[in-house]
Amino acid sequence: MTDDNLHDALTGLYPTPPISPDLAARAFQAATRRHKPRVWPGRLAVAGLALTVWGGVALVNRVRLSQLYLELESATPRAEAVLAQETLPTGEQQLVYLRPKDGWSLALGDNAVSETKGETTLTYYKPWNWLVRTKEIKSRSRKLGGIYPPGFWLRPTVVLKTRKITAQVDELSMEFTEGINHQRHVFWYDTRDHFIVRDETYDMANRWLIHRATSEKISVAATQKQLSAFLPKPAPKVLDRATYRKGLLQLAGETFPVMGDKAGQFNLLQASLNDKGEVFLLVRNYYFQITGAVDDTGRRYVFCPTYPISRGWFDGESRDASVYWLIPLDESAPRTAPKSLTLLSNNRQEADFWTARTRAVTIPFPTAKCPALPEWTVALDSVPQSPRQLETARLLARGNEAFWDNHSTPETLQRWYERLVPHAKAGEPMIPLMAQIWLSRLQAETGDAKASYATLAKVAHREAFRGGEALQYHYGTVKRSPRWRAATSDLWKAVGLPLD
Amino acid sequence: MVRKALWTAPVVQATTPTELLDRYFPLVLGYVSARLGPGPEAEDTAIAVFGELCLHPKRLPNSTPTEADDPARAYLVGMARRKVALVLRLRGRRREQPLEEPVVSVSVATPESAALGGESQEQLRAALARLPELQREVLLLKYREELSLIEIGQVLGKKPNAVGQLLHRAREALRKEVGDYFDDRR
Repeated sequence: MTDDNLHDALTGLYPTPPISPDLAARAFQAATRRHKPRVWPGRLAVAGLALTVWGGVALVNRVRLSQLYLELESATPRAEAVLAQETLPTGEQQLVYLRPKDGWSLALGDNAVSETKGETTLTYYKPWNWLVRTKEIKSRSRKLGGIYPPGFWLRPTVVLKTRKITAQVDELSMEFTEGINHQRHVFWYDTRDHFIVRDETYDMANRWLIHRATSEKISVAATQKQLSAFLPKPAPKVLDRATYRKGLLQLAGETFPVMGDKAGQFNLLQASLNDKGEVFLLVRNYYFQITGAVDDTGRRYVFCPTYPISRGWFDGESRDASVYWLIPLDESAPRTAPKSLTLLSNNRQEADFWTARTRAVTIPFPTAKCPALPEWTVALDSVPQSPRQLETARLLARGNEAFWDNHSTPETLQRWYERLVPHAKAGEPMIPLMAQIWLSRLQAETGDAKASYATLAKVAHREAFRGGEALQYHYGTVKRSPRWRAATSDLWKAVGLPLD
Repeated sequence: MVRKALWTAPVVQATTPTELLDRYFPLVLGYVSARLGPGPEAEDTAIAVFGELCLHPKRLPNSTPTEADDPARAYLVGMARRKVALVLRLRGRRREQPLEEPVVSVSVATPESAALGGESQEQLRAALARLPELQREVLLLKYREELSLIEIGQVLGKKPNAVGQLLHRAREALRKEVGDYFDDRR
C-alpha cells in the first residue's frame, strides 16, 4: 500500500464536487462581503451600568455624609454652642463648641490644616486622626454602615466629653486637666467665668485658644483619665534630670526640690538663691507664668523674663524647663536669707492674664545659707560661647530683649506691671519697673548705691517711651524705634555693657 | 499582506479574495464534502469558512507559504474542520455515518473494472469507517488533501512527530483491513 495508492483510493472515494458558477459566486460573495463595524452595545451597556452604580454609590455616600454632617451640626447647634471661631496666624480655623449633653462636651474643630506645611506637629490635627478617636462620630458612622470617609470633606469635629462637672466657683485654685502628647496639649479649666481651652499644637508660642462662656457660668473639670480617653496616648517622656541638674548645679549652690511631678500643675524642679537675694527657679511648667514671689521676710520679687536663657540653656528642651529669675523689688528690705518663698503664679495667656486666679506656691528654704552664685558665668555656659554671643546672651538675660520676645503685648505687660507693683496706678507706664530692675542690677554690680543709672533710666524712659511709640509690637515681632535703640544704648553704656 | 488586502482592499483590489478562493476553495470544498458528503450542506459549510475569513481577516496567517508548509491552507482546513464538527454536532451524529453513494468520477473502462472498482471502494469505505476518527481524519488530510505533516499538525493541534506516528498507525490499521486489496492492485 503506497501513498499513491492511498491518494488515488481516497480521491476516488471522496471526489471533489464540481464547483458550479453559482457556488463560485456565492463563495465570492461570502468572501468579499463587507461588514459594518461592530458597535459593541454589550460593552457600552456594561460600562454604563458600572458608571451608574459607581455614581449611585457615590451619591448615596455623599447624601449620607451630608446627613451625618447635619446630625453633627444639629447636635452642636452653633448658635448656642460655638464658643468662638478664630483664625490663627497660620490661616487655620479653630472652632470650639460647647454642648451640654451628659455633662459638658467640648469640641474642637479645625480645617485646612494641610495648608501649614512643614509642621509635623499637625499630624494629630488631621481630621482623620481626630475622627477615629471620636466616639461620637464613630457611633454615628457605625449607623451609616461603618463608613469612615477617607478624605472627610466635612468640617471635622472633635468631641471631647467630660462627665464630671464640678462647680468650683469659690475656690482659689485653678482646675485644669491636661492631655498631653508630644504634639498637642489640650486642657481646660474653669475659673469663675471662664472656660478656657488651650491648644499648644503649634509651637508653644502661646497660640492658645481661650474662650469665654459669656452666656452662662461654666465650670468644667475633667480628670486626666477622662480626657486621655479622647486624646492620643502620650508618648512616654523621659525626664532627663541629669541634664537639668547639669545646668542647675552650675547655677545654684544649693538646690531645693520643692514640688515634684505629683504636684501636677506646677512642677518646680529646683530653686536657689544667690548672694544678691535673687531667686532662680528651674520649672517645668507649660501653663503657668511665675509673675512674682514673696518670701517669708516680706520681701517681694518680680519676675524677669529669661526666656532666651532657658531656651539656649536646654537647647531644644525649652518646652520642658524654664528658668525663672526673680528679682527682689524691695531693695530696702534687709537681706536676710528667706526660709520660704511664695510664688505668685498666673496663667500665661494674655487675654486671661488678670482674670484667672493666682496660685500661691510656698517653697520652703530649709537652710539659711545663701550661697554666692556666679550666676551669669554659669548660666551662659550652655549658650553660645563667643564673646559677642556671650554679651548678647547677657543682655538678653538681663531682661532687655527677652522682655519683648516673650510674646507679650503692651497691654499685658502694663497689666502685669500694675498688678505686681502695688503703688502702680492704672495707666502708669510700666517702664519704671524696668528701670527699677536695671537700677538694682546696676547698683549691685557697681557697688555704687548712688549710681546715676536711675537718672539715665528716667531719661531713657522719657526718650524711648514717650507716647508709647516704642511699643510697636505684634505678636512676637519687636519693632523698636531708633529712639528706643538710642536710649537703651545709652542705658547700657551706663551700665558698662555695649548694646549688641 | 494577503490578509491585510482582504480586509482593507477596495473594490479595485478585490482580486485578493478571488485568489484565496481560487487557491483554497476547491481544497476546502473537497475536505468538507469528504467529511459531510457532497451536497448543499457541504457547499454552505465551505462558503461559511470563507465568510468567517472575511469577518476575521487578521486571523489568517500571513507568513510566506512554502512547499512543506502553507499556514493559510492549514488555517482554512482547520477552520473547515471546526465547521464540519459543528455541523456534525448539529446533526446529532456522534460518528460519521457512511456517506451516500458517492459520485464515481473515476473513468470506467469496462463494466468489469467498474464492478471491481465499486467493490474495492466499498471495502475501503468500510475499512475507513472502522478506523478511529482521528486516524481516519489524518489519512484524509494526508492522502486526499495532500497536506504536509506540519500542516496536519496545525489542523489537528499536534506536533509533526505526533502526526507522523498517528499517520503510521492509521496506515498500519488500514493495511490490516484492506492491505491485500492494495497489494493486489500494486
